[in-house]
Amino acid sequence: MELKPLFYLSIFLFSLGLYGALSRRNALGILIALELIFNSANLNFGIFSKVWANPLGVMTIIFGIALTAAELVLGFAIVILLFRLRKTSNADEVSILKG
Amino acid sequence: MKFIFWIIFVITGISGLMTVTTKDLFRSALYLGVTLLGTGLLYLFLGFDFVGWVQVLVYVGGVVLLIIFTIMLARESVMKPIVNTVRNPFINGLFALLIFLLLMLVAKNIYFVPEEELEKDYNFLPSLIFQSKYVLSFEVLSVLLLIAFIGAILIARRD
Amino acid sequence: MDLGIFAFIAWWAPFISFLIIGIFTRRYGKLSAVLSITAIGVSLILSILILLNINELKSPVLKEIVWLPYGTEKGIASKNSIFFGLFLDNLSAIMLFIVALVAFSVQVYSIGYMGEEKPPSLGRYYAYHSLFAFSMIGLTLSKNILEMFVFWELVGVCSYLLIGFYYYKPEAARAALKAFWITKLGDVGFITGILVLYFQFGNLDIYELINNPELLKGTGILGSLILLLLFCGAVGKSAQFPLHIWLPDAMEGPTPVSALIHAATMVAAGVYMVSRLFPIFSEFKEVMFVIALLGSFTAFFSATMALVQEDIKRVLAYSTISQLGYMMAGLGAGSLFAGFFHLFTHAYFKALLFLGAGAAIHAVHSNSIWDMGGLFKKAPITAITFGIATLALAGIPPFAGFFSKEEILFATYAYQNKIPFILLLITVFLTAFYMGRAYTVAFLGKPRNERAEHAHDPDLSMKFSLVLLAIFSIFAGFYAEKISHLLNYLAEHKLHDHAGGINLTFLSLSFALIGLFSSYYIYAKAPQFTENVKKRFSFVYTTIKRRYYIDDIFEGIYRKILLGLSVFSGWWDRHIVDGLVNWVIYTTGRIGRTLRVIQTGVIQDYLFYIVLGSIVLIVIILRGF
Repeated sequence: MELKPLFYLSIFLFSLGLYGALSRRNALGILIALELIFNSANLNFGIFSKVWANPLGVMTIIFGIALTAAELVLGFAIVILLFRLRKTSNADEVSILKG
Repeated sequence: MKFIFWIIFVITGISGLMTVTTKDLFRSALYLGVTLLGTGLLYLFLGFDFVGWVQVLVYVGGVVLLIIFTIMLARESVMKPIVNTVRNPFINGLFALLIFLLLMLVAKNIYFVPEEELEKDYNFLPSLIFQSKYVLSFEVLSVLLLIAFIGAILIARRD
Repeated sequence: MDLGIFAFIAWWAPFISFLIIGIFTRRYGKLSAVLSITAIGVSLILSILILLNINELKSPVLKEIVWLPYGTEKGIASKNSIFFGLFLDNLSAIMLFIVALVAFSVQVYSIGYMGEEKPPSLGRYYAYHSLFAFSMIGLTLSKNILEMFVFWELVGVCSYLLIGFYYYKPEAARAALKAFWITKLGDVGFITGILVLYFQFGNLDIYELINNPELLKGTGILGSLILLLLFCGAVGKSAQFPLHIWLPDAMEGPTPVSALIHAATMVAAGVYMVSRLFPIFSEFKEVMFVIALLGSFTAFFSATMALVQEDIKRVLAYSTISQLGYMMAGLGAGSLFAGFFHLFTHAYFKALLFLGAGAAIHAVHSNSIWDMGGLFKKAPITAITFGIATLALAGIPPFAGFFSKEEILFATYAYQNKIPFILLLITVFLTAFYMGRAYTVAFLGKPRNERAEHAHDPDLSMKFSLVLLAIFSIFAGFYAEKISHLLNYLAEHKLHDHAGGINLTFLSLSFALIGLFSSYYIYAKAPQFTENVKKRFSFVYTTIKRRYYIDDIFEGIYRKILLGLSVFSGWWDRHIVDGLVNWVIYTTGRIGRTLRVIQTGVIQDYLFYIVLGSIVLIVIILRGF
């Protein structure tokens, strides 16, 4: 029920997710970390929806979840395709756009 | 009540940490599941029943499952554990810390209304969804999911 | 009896002839010749008509149209506009006649002289002649200095085209280029003077300038500068020292061309210009002094070079330079009549000399006087007319040259500085001597080689011109009084100001006669004398023969300085200007290559940069910059 600590938690999760996104080698690992970020954002919405008693925040959470799911699905499809083509799922080995 | 809240709070935090630091990809996915579950429970604590259960249902039940499947599919070999090493942990860690601190700085100055005035009925969501102007958005959302669905199939099919 | 219309037709008829020949009839040589001669004949007749009615020109004819309409408001051209027009007064009427007559004679002469040319070549020749006639008349009748300059340049172009007529001869091509370059050097001064004149006084109209000489008077140094600059053009065109070097080389052109352009008309343009602007020039004593001194020096200097030439045309070329110096000296000494009248007479006898030389060259197929000899018996008409011209040039009465030379000598004698007079007096002797030398060697005595044996008089067209000009050489002198009277409105003059009186006439006449007789004696009776002189004074002889090395100086300057400058500019352009551009390119490339490192292709790096950027933004927002 403590809202301030919850807020801090969401920030914490966010930075963790950022760290993960930057430093994971495996593409799926990156996506997992991204998932974490989205989740922290949703949590934020929830907190502030409660603070300002605005139902719109909660709506946004629903939408956020749906959108995240959709985007993740596509992300995974790409990873699978990538794996099939390059036989690797490490993000730093796929640097065709180098230069 | 508060005690449970804090336990869930801490568990969520720690598992979040574990998600990004463990070397095993599979474990990372599982930790993610725990984190998402914890968040969903936190929603419950906030008074959003519907959202909380939707979170658990969709995320833990759907997304984490999806992640696991994909991990299985994108494996080089069945025998080796999937290594998910970390690149430049220190610089990135520093960076993340920096962000964390900055955001905390911002967060300190936000004013939160004291709790007493917040006791209201927040379970308005179902009526909001099905009996108001947001119905259309939901239908569109379902179309979006369909598109994502089809798109994923298209991308990842074997031809 | 609109004299303006006459002048206008006389001016443009040769141009129409040029257009027709140039566009249509160039292939037909004889037809082109007929066209051209008809045109110039028309000009001649009209100029005579103008002269017969010269009293009507008491108020000069002025016609103009707007050319460069600066400062025009509401359709009314302002004072600063530049006009293109016709200015016909006594001076330009006389000059018009000179030009038309000599041009006509030369073009008729050319039928015979250039008869062996193939028709397309002949057509080209007459086209150039018509263009030249048009330009020269335009120069004469110009109302505006800028317009005069346009025709000045045009005349230079025609000179170039005609000197280089035998374009397949490298010497001719080189000579044409040299003529153009050197006169262009003078023209730089000319146009600078025009520009300064325009921007200081806003007025380039000749008529207004000469009627208001006070306009320039009050400006002291500036006025002198302008006039000196304008005089530069005359120095180039009229082959005064040091820009005289092109004239001897210009003899590479056909002889009729030399007669017309480089004896009678184009080179006289400089003298004409000074005469035209005489009321202004005479206000500036220092400038007049420069003109007089330079003129007399040129006269003396080139007379010395005429003494050692073997090519008969070169003798005449140096003679021309010398006589032009005479004219300038006369003008500079303050006598418009002296200078201009000498131009008048000189045109006839010099043209005659050249045409006669052409006849001699035609007869023996060689330019050198040592290949001639005994032509008096073989080609009498040539010899007699040439002789008349020689006497005129030497200044023997009653031939024309006597009167004009006298006037100049009187003018310089009365001038405050005696140097011009002394130089000119000595030159009288030299002139008589070198002409006597040329005549003796070429016409008298026995034929010196086989070709001279078979020499004969030229055919009709050439004879016609020779005789025509000879008549003028004899009688032109008697018009002195009339012309002096006509020119009075420009500059007050009294004929035969007997300051030194009869003594002066006696002195100059004796110098001339001594010159003639001594040259005859030496070259006819005692040729070994010249050999001895050459041996004893070999250094002097060589120096004079080499034209005092002035050509070499010019060439050295050209080569070292001008070409050196070109080499330097080339180096500069290649290494520094291009180098700068190349350096920019190279540096840009280097920066690009360095920045390219950022694009690793790894997504996380990009994410890193995004986050980095957002951190910076957050910090900025927090700090509230």
